[in-house]
Amino acid sequence: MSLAIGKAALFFSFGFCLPLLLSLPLHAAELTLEPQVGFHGLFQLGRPFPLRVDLTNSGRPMEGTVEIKLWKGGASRGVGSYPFHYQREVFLSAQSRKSIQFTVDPDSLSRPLTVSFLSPTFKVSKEIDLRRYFTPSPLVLLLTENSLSPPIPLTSSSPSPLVSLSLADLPADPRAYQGISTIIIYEHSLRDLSKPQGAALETWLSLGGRMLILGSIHYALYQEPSVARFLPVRVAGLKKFSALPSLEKLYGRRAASLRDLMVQDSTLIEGKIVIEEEGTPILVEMGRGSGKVSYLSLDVGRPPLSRWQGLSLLFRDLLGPPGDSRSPLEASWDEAVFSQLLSDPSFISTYVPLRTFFLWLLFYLGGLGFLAWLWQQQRLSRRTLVLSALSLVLFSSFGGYLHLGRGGNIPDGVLVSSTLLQSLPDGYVEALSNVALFSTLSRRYNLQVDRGWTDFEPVLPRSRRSEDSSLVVEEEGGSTRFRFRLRAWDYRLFKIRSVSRFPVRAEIENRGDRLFLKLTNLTAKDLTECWLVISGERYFLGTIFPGGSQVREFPLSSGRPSSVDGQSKKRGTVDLREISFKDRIREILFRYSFFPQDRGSARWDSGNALFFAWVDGSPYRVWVDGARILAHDYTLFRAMIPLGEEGTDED
Amino acid sequence: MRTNPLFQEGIQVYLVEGHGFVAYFYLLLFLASLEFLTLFLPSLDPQAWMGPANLFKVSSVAALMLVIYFTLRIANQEFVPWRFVPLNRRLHQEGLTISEVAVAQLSLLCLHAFLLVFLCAPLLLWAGAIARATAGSILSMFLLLLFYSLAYGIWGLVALILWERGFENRQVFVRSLFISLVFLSALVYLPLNPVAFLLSRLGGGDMAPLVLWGWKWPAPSIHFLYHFLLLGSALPIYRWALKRGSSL
Repeated sequence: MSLAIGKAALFFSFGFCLPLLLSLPLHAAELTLEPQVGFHGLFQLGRPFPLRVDLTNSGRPMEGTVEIKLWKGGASRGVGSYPFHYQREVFLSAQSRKSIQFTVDPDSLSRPLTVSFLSPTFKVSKEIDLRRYFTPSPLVLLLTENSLSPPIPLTSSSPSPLVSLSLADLPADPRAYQGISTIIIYEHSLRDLSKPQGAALETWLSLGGRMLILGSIHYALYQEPSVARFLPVRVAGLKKFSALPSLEKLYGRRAASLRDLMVQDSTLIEGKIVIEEEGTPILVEMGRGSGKVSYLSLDVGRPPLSRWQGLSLLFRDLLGPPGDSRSPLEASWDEAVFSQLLSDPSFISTYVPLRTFFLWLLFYLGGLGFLAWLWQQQRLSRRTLVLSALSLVLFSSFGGYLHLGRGGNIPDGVLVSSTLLQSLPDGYVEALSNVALFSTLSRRYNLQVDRGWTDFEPVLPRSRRSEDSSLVVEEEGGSTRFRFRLRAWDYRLFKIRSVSRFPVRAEIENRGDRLFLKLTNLTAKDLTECWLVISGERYFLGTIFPGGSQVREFPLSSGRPSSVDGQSKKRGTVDLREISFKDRIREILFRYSFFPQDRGSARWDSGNALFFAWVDGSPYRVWVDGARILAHDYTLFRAMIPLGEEGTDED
Repeated sequence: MRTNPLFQEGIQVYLVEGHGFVAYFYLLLFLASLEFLTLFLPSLDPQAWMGPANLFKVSSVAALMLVIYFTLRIANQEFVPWRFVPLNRRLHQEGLTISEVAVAQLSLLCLHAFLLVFLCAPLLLWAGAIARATAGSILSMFLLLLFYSLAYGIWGLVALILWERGFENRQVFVRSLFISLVFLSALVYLPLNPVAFLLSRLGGGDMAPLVLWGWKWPAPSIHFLYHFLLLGSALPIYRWALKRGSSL
């Protein structure tokens, strides 16, 4: 008997436990995880940056989630710290490698960032101390295929670190570029630039990014559509110049003269020529939204220009601080604004069946009163009346419960999206979507936003607990998904920024003593309840349909519009809060969020005309998965039209 | 029970003649007004939008107080007291036993408690539907309402037997008891208070346990122990008072 037990023990040890023990280290070595922070290990402090996770699977096929955990909030933000998770589902075939790009944005570097691979059977993680990688100033990226990169003389006025990058390393997310001041392209084919990478660069440019395209003797590279899409000129070939007096006049006073240069020959398409020589553009600048593209037709990587002493002065101007220091678009969005919105009965009635409730109340109390009266009058038998009362109570209880609960269409969640579109040059708009999601049930939500968002900021009250603030970000396909849990009758507020095309054109024409303002709606959406505020007066413009326009005429007095037509109302200063709208919710958003009292009216009346209109449907989509979600979308378009430069167009 | 004259008298006065309807009328009027105002009137409170969310809690608490209050008053025979035959006559002239009196009065108490809860059931169920309360919360609320109305209502019977001829004494006692148990008990130890306990149950929160001599007593245990003691102590006092009445 004891022998049999001994055999069984040996069999168990060798047959089961040993392979199990041996398999543990083998499994642990199957997958390695290597994170790459920023652009070759550098990122600007306080800005989102790319984080690439290289996964190497040396074992069996594996499926799991790559997760990055970092901390948002903290004392600097005035709220408690809360975890923020970025997740991506991956499948790794046997003996394979995979790189996954994230764009992360920690609020504090004091806590390490954790990169993990999680699967049901396997977990590996790595902590990164981000304090080793940051720089206080924005970076300059250089894209070149030339092994001998051009001498980019970064002067003291531009302390930005220069990072040379290959095309494959360019992120496909516009947010990752927020810590970049300039991207320099020199002798680089952009043929392999992917569609998302191109779109990201476009978005970054329209948000205020700067691109510097340096010419080269290999001019054919600049004729490729992939590069040409960013160029303000059409490159035709090469041209030889014996001297460049216009360039030397600006930058080469203390330098030796330039002789016999090969310059790219080109014709202007868009923008303005800053320096030209014998009709050939040398330096061209073109606006792209809030950003700028500069094109230098010279080859700075080759002699004689590479040895020219005036080059540092030229680059000081080209890489200097941006002239447009536009403050970010702001609109109030906090608990106070949200309570204003939600305390309004017209809003409550959209998600609570108030009318149905009132009718049930009348039916029940009226029925009971009637039965009590019949009881007192003794017109019916007691038995009939008792049965009727019983039926009334039971019917009202269960009928009302089912009707109000199921048939009353009380949604699981209510999504309020209030978007402010601020006009930028070239038909772009900066969109600030203030989003609120509140829940009537305790459940998980997936808030989805269209790809192309540039900033996502949860608005948290100070009292919120860390576990209630946690967020998981998942990027999949053409949208980003934010996962979080809401308790019953709880809510969360977010601010989402983006840039998109929304061309509304304003043309100002000065005809002697009169000023004509023409507003054209080139979008596919109706602009309703349009208002124009100009020189302390306000005008109601009604609706401007897609493709339609409105022309207003203002008599000029000493170069400024002075009087008004019949529809306007004279005022010392314009109080925007006095403007009313048909929809009460629009009015609340207008007064408390888009034009809050504390911002004052002076800001909107400083020599500019202010135009605003409600847009039917936002050009930027925010939605929540699930059928029982009630969505309210409000979008206001706002444009400041400078009156100083008559005869100019403003998009 | 049908032959019990005391029970028949209670049914006749309160239900057949409709003198008890006033309690139901006030109960429904107050509860309906409260629900209507909670939903329809915006308030200056920053949490005003939570109106629908708090509708069930507010209605349940109001129903709790009203049901306890009216059960106490009905048990204490405060409505048309002159219509009831004195207990002495029942015991000595009609020959009713103490048990028969107790069974009749306790049955009437249960019937009225049930009717009060039953009549406000639609309003509470609608509030639950709008606030999206779970079925468990709604059921536990109804059970608690019935339990409290009996646990407190029996003290109305005690007062009735103890001071049958002192109507004012009974009134003062019943109101003092109501205020002490429903409001002031919160000052002694929160889990003893029925309102606090009901809110805690509906909100899904946990109440702090009671720590006595190093032992931790969960708040629900303390709450129910206290209320069973309240109910348990009322029954012997009620029986003693009945015996005292029969011996006079």
